[in-house]
Amino acid sequence: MKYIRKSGVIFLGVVILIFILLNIFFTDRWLENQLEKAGSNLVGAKVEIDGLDVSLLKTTISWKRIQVTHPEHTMKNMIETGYVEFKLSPSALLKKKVVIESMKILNIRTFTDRKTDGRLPKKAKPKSEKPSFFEQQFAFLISEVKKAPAFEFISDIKAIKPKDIIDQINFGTPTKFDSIKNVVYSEVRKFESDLASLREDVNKLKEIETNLKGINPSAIKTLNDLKSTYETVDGSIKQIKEIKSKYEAKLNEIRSYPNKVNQLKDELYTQIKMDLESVKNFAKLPDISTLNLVKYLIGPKLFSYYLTYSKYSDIAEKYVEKVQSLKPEKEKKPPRLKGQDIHFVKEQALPNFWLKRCVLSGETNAGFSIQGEISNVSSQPKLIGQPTNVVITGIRPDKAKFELNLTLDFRHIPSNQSLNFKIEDLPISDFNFDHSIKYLPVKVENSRGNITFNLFKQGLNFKSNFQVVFFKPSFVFQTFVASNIYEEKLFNVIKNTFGAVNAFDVNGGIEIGDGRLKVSLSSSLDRQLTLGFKEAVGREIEQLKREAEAIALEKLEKYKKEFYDRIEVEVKKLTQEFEGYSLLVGNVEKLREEKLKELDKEIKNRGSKILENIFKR
Amino acid sequence: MPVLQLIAKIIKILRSQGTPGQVSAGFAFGMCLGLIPWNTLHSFLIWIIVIILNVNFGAVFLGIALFGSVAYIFDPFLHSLGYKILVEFDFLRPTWVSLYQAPVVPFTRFYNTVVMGSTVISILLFVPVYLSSKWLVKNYREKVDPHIQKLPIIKVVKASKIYQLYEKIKSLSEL
Repeated sequence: MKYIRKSGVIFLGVVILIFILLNIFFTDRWLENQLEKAGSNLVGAKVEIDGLDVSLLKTTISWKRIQVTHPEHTMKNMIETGYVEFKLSPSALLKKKVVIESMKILNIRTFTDRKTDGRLPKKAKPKSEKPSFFEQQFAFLISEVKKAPAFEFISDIKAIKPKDIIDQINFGTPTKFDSIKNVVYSEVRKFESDLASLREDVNKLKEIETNLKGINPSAIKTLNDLKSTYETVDGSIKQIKEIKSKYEAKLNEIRSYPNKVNQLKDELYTQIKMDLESVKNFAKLPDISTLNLVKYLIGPKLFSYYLTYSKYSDIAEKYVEKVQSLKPEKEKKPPRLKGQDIHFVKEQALPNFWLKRCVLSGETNAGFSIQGEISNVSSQPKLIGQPTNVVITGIRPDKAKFELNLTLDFRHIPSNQSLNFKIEDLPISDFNFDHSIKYLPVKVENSRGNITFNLFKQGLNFKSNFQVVFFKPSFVFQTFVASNIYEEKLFNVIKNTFGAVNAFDVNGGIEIGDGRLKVSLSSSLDRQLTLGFKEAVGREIEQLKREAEAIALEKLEKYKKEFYDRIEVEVKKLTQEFEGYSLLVGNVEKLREEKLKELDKEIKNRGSKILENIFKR
Repeated sequence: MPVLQLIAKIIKILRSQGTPGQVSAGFAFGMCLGLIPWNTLHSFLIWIIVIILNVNFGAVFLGIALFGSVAYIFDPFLHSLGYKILVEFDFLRPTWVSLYQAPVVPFTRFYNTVVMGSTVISILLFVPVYLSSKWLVKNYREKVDPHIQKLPIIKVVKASKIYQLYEKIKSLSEL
C-alpha cells in the first residue's frame, strides 16, 4: 500500500462524482454549445439549438428546435426545424463512431424570420483556400455575364445626337458650291467684260442711229451729195453687221449659259442629296440579331446557384475524400499541437459517421408542404457501400408541386453526383434578377412558372441542363434617372418591349469536360425582345435620322438659296441686259433701211427732174 | 525571475520529503502529460495513475511545464514522426486498422499524428527520464545538499524569523 495514495483515491472518487453530477446537469448545455459552435463554423452564421436533451443511458439525443441562420441574410433562418429525436448506436459509440439508425425531423421550415441577427462576430479572415476548378469556372461565368456587352450598342445609340451626326459627316456640298461659284463667277466676269466691250459697240450703234436719224434727204442740196450720203448709209451695214454678229455670238453664248448653270445647279443638288443620304446612312440600325439578354438577366443568379452547389459539394467531396483516403497526404502545417487525423478505413467496418435513414417533413417559405427521406449520409461511404440519397417532394394547396432527387456517390474516385429538380406551376411572386444593368428589370412579379433542372457531375466532368418557363410575367424596373433624352427613350423602348412579353422560357446547358467549358442559353424572351428591340430601336434610329436630315437640309438649303440669289440672279441680269441690246440693233438696221429707201427715192426724184429739164430745153 | 522561480522549485522538489523514486516517477509522468495532448484517453489514464500512485505532485507539474514547452516547440517534429508511423510504415497499417475499429481504443486518438508522435516519444523517454532524474535527486541529496546547507547565506536565511514562521506554516499545512 505504500505506493497508493489514499487521499488520491478519495480525490479521484470525488472527481468522478462531480463529473457524474456535472454530466447529469450540464451535459446537455455543454453539448448544445459544442454542436452550436461546430454548426456555426460549418455554416458561417449562427446555428442555435433549443432544448437539447441527451440521455446517456438510452443513447438518444433530441432537441425542440434548431435554427440555421442564412449566411447571407442573417435576419433569416435558412432552415428551422421542430422536434428532432434520434438514437445513437451504443456499440458504435464505444468505437467513437456516430451511427444513427433512424431519425425524424419534423416541421422543417425554410427562410423563416429571426428575432436576433444571426451574424457571427467578425473573425480574422482564414487563409482562403484556392477555389476548386468548378468554383473557378462558375465564378468566371458570373463575371462574364456581369460585364453585359449586349448593351454596348445601346450606350452607342444613347450617346448619338443629331447634331453629333451632322458634325461627324464630311459634307461635300460646301466644296461643290465653292467650285461651282468659282466657275460661274469667272464666266459672269467674262460676260461682264464682254458686256463692257459690247457697250462700246452699242454706243457706236447709237452714234450710227443718231447719224441716220439726222439724215434728211430733201435737205441735201446736190445729187452728188445724196449719192455720197447713200453710199455712206449703205456702207454702215458693214459696221452694223460686225457689231450684230459680235453681239449675236455673245448673246447666243449667254443664252446657252443658263443651261450650263442649270447643269451646275443639278450637280449641286445631287451633291446635297448625296450629303443627305450620308446623314441617313450614318446611324445604321445596330445588328441585334444575336441579342442575348436572358444571359444577363438570369445568368448571374443561375450561375451563383451553380457556384453555391459547387462550393458545398466540393466541401463534402474533399472531406469524404480525406477521411476515406488510405494514404492521405501530409498536411504541411497543421495548427500547433492539433496534428492531422489519419482515418484507417476498412471494408465493412463502421464509418465515423453514418445516418442510415432520416425522415423529414415540414413547409418551405414558398408554402410547399414537404416530405422526404435522406438515407446513408456517411463520412466514409466506401465502408457502407451505399451512396447518399435525398428524395424530397412538396405540394402546395394551389396544386403547385416539386420533386428533388439527389444522389451523392463518393464511394469511388471520381465521385458521381446527380441532382434532378422539378417544379410545376409555381407562383412566382418575387423573383429577383441578380444583375447590375440599370436598363433591365430587377425582378418578376405575379407570374407562374415551371422549372426543370438536371445536373450530373463525375470527377472533373460536369453536365447540367435546365428549363424555366414563366407565364404572364410582370417585370419590375428600378427607378431610373436618364442622363439625356436619348437614354430615356431607349429605356422606354426596353420597358415597353418587356411589357409586351406574355410568356417566356429559358433553356440552357452547361458542360465542363476535359477542362473546357461550354455554355448554351437560349430563350424565347430573347427572340421576342430581339424583334421588339429591332422595331423599337429602328423607330428611334429613324427618328434620329429624320432629325439629323432636317438639320442637314437646313444647312444645305443655305447653299441652294445662295446659288439662286447670287449666281442665277447675276446670270439673269446679264442675259436681260444682252437681250435689251437686241432691240437697239434691230432699230438701227431698220433705220438704215428706211434712210436708204428715202435717199434712193430722193435720188430718183432728183434724177427724173434733171431729165425733165434736159428734155424741156 | 521565472527562471529563478523554476530553479527554486527544482531545488525544493529535490529536497522534498518524497523518495527519489517518487520524485522521478512524478517527473516522468509529468513528461508524458506535458508531451501528449490532454484530450486523449491515455492522458486521462495517466492523470488517474498520478493521482492514485504516491508520486511527487511537484515533480509532475514541473514535468508538465517543462515538456509542455518542449512539445510546443517540437510540434512539427512530433507531427512528422506520427505521420511516418501511421502512414509510411506499411507493416504497421493492419495494427492501426484493427485498433481504429476496436472499441474504446479510438478514444486515445492514436490516429492523430501529434498524439502518436508524442506518445511514442513519451514511451521511449519514460525509463531514461525516470532513471536519470532518480540519479540526479539521489546525488543531489547525498552530495550537493549538505554543502549548500553549510553556506553562510543559507544559515543566515534559516536563522531569520521570517523563515521560521514559514517553516511553522509549512508544518501546519502538512498536517
